[in-house]
Amino acid sequence: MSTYQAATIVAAPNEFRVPFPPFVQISKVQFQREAGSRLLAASGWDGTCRVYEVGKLGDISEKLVFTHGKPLLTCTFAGYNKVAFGGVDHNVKLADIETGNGTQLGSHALAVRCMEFNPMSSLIVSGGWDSSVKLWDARSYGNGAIESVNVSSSVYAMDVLKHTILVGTKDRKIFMYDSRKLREPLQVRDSPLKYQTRAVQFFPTGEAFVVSSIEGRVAVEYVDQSGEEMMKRKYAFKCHREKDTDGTELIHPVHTVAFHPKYGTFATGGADGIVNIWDPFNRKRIIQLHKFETSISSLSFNEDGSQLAIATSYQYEKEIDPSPLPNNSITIRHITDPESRPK
Amino acid sequence: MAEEPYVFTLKKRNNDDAEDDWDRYSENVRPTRRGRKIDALKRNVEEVVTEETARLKLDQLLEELQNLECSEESEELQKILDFCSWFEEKLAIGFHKVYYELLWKIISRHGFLEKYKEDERMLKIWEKMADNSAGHAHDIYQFAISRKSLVKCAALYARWSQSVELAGAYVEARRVLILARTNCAVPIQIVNDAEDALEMREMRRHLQERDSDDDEEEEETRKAFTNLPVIGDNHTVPIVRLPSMCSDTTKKAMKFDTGNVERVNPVCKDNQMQPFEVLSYTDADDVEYLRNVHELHAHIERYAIKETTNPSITGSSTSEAAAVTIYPVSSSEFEVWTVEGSGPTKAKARMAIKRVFKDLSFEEYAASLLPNHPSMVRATAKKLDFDETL
Repeated sequence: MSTYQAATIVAAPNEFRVPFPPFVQISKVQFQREAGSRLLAASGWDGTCRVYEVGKLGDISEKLVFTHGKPLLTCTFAGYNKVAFGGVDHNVKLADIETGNGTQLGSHALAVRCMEFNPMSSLIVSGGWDSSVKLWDARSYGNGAIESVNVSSSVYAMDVLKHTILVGTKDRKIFMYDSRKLREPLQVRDSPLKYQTRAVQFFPTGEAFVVSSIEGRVAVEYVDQSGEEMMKRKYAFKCHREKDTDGTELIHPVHTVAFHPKYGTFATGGADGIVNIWDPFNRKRIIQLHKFETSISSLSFNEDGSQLAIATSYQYEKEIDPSPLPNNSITIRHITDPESRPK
Repeated sequence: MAEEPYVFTLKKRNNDDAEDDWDRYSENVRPTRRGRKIDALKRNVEEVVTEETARLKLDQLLEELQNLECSEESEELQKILDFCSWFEEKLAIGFHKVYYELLWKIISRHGFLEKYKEDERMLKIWEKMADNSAGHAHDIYQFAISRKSLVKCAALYARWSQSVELAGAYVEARRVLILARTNCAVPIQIVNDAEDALEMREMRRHLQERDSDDDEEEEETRKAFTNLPVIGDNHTVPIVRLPSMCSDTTKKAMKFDTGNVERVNPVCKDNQMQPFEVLSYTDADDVEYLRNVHELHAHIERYAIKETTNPSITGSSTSEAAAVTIYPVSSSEFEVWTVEGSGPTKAKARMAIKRVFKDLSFEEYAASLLPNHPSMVRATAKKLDFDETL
């Protein structure tokens, strides 16, 4: 007589660490958005830009390391085989992933703070603390910036969607440009939040964008401001707040925002080490991930939205620095459909 | 034949409207809380009612009542109530001061309060005085109880508690109902119903307050003066006079003779302290204050209800509020009494970051740490590149 043995179900881990030095402050992580791509770029304050290949079941390997020499503040993929990065030494550099060769595209007058890529016209868009936004051609070298425009103050946040550029400045203004005619902005408006802007992100549909600030608030703004209906649809909500032992509410900055490429939901990361995924259409929070060791400095979804790169890095925001300093890490978490689809 | 030209004359025109149609026009009818008599709605163009007319009418009524026979004493209060109805119909708007003065003249008559202290019709007199006392309803009802007028009438306490609750002093409203039970007011069902209704409204207020917390802004917003929130349960909201209420410009001071008033003992005689202070004859200054409430500055006024803690009362809500200092704020136009003190405040919110980040971003601050940035120090120690200069 045969005996059937009950099957044992073991939960598979959905979270994997990326091999990154724990003492290096991380400035940005970004997945490549080419179809079928599995590359992840990470820039750090040690002046290196690392490119990883992320597999399905936690198979993460370091593919290439570019050494810049000075701290990097931003990086972005420029096409299927190139990565661009910039930092406090004002230079904008472009490196080939396959050959490992690097070249300098140009420079800003001050540090390069933000950088994004427009795949439709192969343009790299960079914003710096010199209050300028510059366009660079990723296919031809040595020609300098294609075009440049000045905004009202230092660039603190930027996003690019197709031909539209969204810039958040130090004086809490939001600029919107068309990269094909950069001279005049499409729109200039004040930030709906009262404190410093930390991140701006377009909805994948392009009809709205999200603004986050250091005051633990996120605002949803619509691109088209005409009509009363659009003004009523915009809103802001509080997040990344926690109660202290004496009942005081601690407000943490929302460092980063990342949109799911398919469903239009977005994830926020704050200085409290929490990652939330929000449904902006029903104004609900879908899930809240576990508390990470230190501040969330950058988030990025991959091209199909199944993986979320979470960079945790201490930003020296506390009044008294903890001793020892917390370890910095990059985590790849699998995001399932119920965790990211609007209800 | 040419038409005769129109010539303006002062002759009365032949209108289609009949004289009885005056009440068809709703703008001519001024509603009161207890309604109006139909006779008052008829137009009497000959009658012109002024303040002096009202004073003269009351004097005539009081003189007439003095000459009444003993068998007609029961009609005295009814005639006074008829005068009140007449006053409210003729001088409904803008004569609160005159009305209050005339009511004080009525109750200050010798033996009036003692004669009708059990008559429930006195409740109307006290209600009218409280409504026209420029926000001193609580003191008026206390004065009534101290004179032993309607001590055991439960309707008085219900009305008293309601007026105190409208002023925002919810704890005091509960104490009024506790006093009603202490004084064995009847019927007790009125007290029970009033207490249940009070608690129900209190719960509804708390629910609304809790729901509105989610939408609260972090920073303060400017509010109209009349919408200022109260601080605790021991203070009334600001009372702002409407322009129509300040139209009375009589300068005459109110003086009454109180020499014939007898002294009475406190309400309870069982050697038991009162749950709160009850006005008595020994507080002559308070009586004068009540008489001349309309002589105070009429723009904005606010006061604190006297706080008394008596643990001997079972079930009474004793609140240990902090000592509150009330002082006038000097202003060129009007005098505002404000409250200074640390009351129960909400939990504050603070940002868990350094203050320097109000101006600098996190990257700018970290860049200012260079070349002593921890990442750079460790990276330099690892690389040991002697050819590169930092």
